[in-house]
Amino acid sequence: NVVNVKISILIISFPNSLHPSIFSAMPAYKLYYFDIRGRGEVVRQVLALAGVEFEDIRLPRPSDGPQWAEFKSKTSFGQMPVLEIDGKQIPQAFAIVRFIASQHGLAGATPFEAAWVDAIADQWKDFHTEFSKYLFVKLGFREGNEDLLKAEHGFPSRDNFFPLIEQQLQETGSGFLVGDSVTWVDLLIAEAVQVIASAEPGFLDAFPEVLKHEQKIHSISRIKKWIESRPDQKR
Amino acid sequence: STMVHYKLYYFPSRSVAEPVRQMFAYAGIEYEDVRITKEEWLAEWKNKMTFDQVPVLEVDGKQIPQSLAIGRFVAKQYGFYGKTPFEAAWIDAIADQFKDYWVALAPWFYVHMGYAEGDVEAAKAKCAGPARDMLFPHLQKLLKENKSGFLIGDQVSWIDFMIQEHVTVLEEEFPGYLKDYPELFVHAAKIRALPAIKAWIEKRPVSRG
Repeated sequence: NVVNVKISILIISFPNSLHPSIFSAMPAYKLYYFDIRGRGEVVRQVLALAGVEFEDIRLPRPSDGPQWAEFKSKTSFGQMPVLEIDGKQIPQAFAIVRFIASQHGLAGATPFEAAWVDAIADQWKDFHTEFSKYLFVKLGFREGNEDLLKAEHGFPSRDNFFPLIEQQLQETGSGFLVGDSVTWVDLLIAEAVQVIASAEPGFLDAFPEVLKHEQKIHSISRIKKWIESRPDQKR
Repeated sequence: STMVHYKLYYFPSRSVAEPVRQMFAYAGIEYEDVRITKEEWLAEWKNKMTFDQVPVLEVDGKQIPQSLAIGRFVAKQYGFYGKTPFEAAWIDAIADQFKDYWVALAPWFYVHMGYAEGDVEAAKAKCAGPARDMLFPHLQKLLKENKSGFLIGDQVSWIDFMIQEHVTVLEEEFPGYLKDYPELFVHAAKIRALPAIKAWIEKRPVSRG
């Protein structure tokens, strides 16, 4: 009898930083989100920047397939993104991000800096709640009066938020939003700026430090590599 | 050892500052509880605050804005952030889910409280159910599954104070809103009965929310 033997070679890639898991099995990270950038993109970028291997599971929109309807009741909060680690879930994009970032030196060098990373992220969230009323119509995801929404929500939210970011960059002088090295909020803001500036060129021209920051963050080699490999999507 | 000097700046209400005040009370940490009226805010304080907003926590003279950032900072400093990174992630997730729920509830809540103009019944019909569905089924499940009586883990955490404060407001302003979630009232009563919190509640300034 000829016995066909299939040999699987398991290649273990060592993490760049010495981590307790180096001597045990790497945890299996699965990220579930829709096949868009949206709220999942900052999670994917933090994982990429941290050098954490993960399964980037992308579900089609509900209108394009039943997968989300089937999966929804299995998620902790009936929402995505959700991170699954060895079968246990963490919901909420920023909670996932903090979990990864804080274990890889990407959440601020001190408790005070971490608080500022959190504060800028929440300020962005408040901005996005307002700005998306205009942006989602501009990008064609919703119906609406684009010019009216731009006047009522687009300009005011921009002019409340981006001066703070511009000033923060001027104050740190490091090229990063908090302290002198990259944190997850750098990824969050740079992603937002890229989406906005490509949806509407010139919209952020009054904020030169903000635009420089986006270029700088997106030229970090792991982020650049991620952006080159990800699907080409507007948001 | 040098004691950190804290000043917490907010309006004369509980709202998003109250979880921070409760953590300080529970941990026995001294702080200046600065309460700014609306008139004082516009006349004097707004442009002293780093994002033109309150609450702000000043830590040895340096400001931190945004209530959840302040909450996380204090929670981490004084042991209200769970015992493991996974527990911390779940505390974060609940805090962020609460914020999303709040954004969904606000159109109704603000009109009810008189902070905004509008038709309160129309706002209620639109917002009340969907907002509730975003948060309370999940909190109920956590409480049913966690023997400790706390939301996450086996000791009180930042989000126990946060949820308890809001449930208290719901009891006062919208009785019946949580009638299908009795576990939330049991939880709120438990947190209010913690000795340091009971003492704080008895001495704190009275406000509507």
